[in-house]
Amino acid sequence: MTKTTANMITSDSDSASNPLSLRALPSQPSLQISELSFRWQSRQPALTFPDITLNAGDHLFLRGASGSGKSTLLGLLAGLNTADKGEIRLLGKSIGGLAPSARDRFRADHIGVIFQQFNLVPYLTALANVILPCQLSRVRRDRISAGASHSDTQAAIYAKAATLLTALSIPHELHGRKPAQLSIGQQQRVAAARALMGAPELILADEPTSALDSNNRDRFMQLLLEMAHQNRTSVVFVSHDPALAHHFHQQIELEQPL
Amino acid sequence: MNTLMTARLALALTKSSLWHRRRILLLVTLTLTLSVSLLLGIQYVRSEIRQSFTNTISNTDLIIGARSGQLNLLLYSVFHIGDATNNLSWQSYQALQSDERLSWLIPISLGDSYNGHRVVATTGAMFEHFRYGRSQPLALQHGQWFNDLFEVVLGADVARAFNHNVGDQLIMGHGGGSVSFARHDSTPFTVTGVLGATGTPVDQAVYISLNSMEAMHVGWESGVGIPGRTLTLEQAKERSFTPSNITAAFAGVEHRVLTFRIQRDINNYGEEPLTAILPGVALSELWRLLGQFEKALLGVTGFVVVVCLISLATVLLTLQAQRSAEIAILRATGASAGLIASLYLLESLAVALLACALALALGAAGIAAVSPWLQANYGVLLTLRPLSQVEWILLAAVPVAALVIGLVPALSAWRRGRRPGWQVLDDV
Repeated sequence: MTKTTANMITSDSDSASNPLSLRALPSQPSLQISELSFRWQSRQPALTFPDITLNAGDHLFLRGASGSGKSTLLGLLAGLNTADKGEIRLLGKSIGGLAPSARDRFRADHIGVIFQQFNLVPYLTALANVILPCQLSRVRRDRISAGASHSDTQAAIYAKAATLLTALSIPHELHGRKPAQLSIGQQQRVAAARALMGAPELILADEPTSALDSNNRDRFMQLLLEMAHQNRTSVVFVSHDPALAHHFHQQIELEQPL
Repeated sequence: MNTLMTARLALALTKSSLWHRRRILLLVTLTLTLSVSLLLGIQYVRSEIRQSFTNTISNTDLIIGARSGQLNLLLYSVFHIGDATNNLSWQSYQALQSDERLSWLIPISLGDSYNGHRVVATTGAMFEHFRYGRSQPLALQHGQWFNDLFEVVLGADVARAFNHNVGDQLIMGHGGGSVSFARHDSTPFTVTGVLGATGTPVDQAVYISLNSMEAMHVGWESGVGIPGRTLTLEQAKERSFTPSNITAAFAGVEHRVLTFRIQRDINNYGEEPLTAILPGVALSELWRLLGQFEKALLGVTGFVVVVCLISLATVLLTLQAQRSAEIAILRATGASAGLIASLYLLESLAVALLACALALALGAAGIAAVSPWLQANYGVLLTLRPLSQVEWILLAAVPVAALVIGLVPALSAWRRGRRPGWQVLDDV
């Protein structure tokens, strides 16, 4: 079962020649930041971030003590916050200059997000939660169902979501359940499936394993990175658990502000 | 296309969200429904009471009585409250009858009572010409109008209160008051008819002929019935009676434009000091007098509006505060601030519209259920009618207010779209 699924996902990433996809430009790094700094309030010390360049498909491990600005950096990358200084280029595009609505659009089209907890919309089933990115972004929807007619599009999206969930070890009978009826580990994996849906170029994960036990954690990491690899999706992963570092191509330790 | 997609998503999310939280939303909707029903109900009852009040008499152009104030004359002749200061002589009444400008006249003579209900002595003209409400004539639910001595027609409430029906024998009390020490024992009356309910003082009275009034008082010149001098039915039937005076008369005018001139002529009548009033004018003066009551209700309505709005705001803001986690997720997944705002607005609107619909149903059912009881116990006629413009505006104000209140979290979601925030789980 897992094998067929993997094949399907591979074939999906083969469709990267899709003109809608920015992956048509393989030379672009998925992430570049330079001289970035940010302060929450004018009287607080500015958080400064090291320059980072992350190649397409590579994974980045961000480590740092509380208050070092890990989540802040993710917020900046997601375009939910705007930097005071410096530049963020995602897929070759500078997001600092985008209007808020354009940033929302960019996030919907190119970024998947996994939080530490409370990842799922409580009133939607697991399956509906996974489908959400395709309802918010045409780009991600069309990646799944390029050229299909309307009814086929729906069917293709549902099939894809179910495949992803199954690949992330969520058995079929749980697909129709609400988040409250799932374990924390299952909820995090559903969140991962949502982040992967429609093969975004970048996934931002904010300590997604901190609420999981070690078994669940390892399985989560393995599944997430394996599927990200199949999609050639870059993962930016924030954690203070050094045991996870070996999964990643790059590691960066954030420093406390002075 | 993208807008359509977003709109569909917003509707689908709202639907699932509403259903997911249906228990709390049901309570919230009920709170709101009660507020809206209260608001609408008070407004409705206020206008109905006013309507019911002005409905007590219609099509009567003039009420004529002995010289007195217009309120006094109105109160005793129409509402049967208080007593006449003086009577109208039969000669004057005959003079009025010969006035060709008047198309009809209803004489009434008050004074006696039946178990606290006024006895109104009148003629067939009462049944023929008296109108109330929207020009509705009196209607009999049983039997027929009196046409002989010692026959009585009962108002709907009197018949119901004492469970009387056609054929029953009644003894009238002498004078007013619910307990009469002097009773017309020797001249029992037979019920010939029961009037339909009107929601006016007509329901509270009993009707006999002027001749019966005269006949039952033969032998009562000293104020008490002297045995042997009072008449039996047979004796009465052999005599003819002419009232010496009556209490008041209702009149219809042939040409409305002449009403004021006729009123002035009557007020200047040389033979006897008389007063003619326009019932509409007198009623509105009386309503102004009772306006304190209406003002109090209006004040209550105002408070209800405020309470309504506060409860609406509390309830909707509490609801939205619960959604911050889900909103953070949607934002992170790429939902625009506009979509988030529309989720807030749609939910507020849905709750408000549902509450309005429920309030309408509740109000209609309530009025349908309560109106027979009100009619029976208080003589207030509360009818189901289409909402007036003011009531529609009040009702429409509820979803509008809900939208305005929904704007608060919606705007704050909008602002947050431009403000730092990663996974914001705090306040709205």
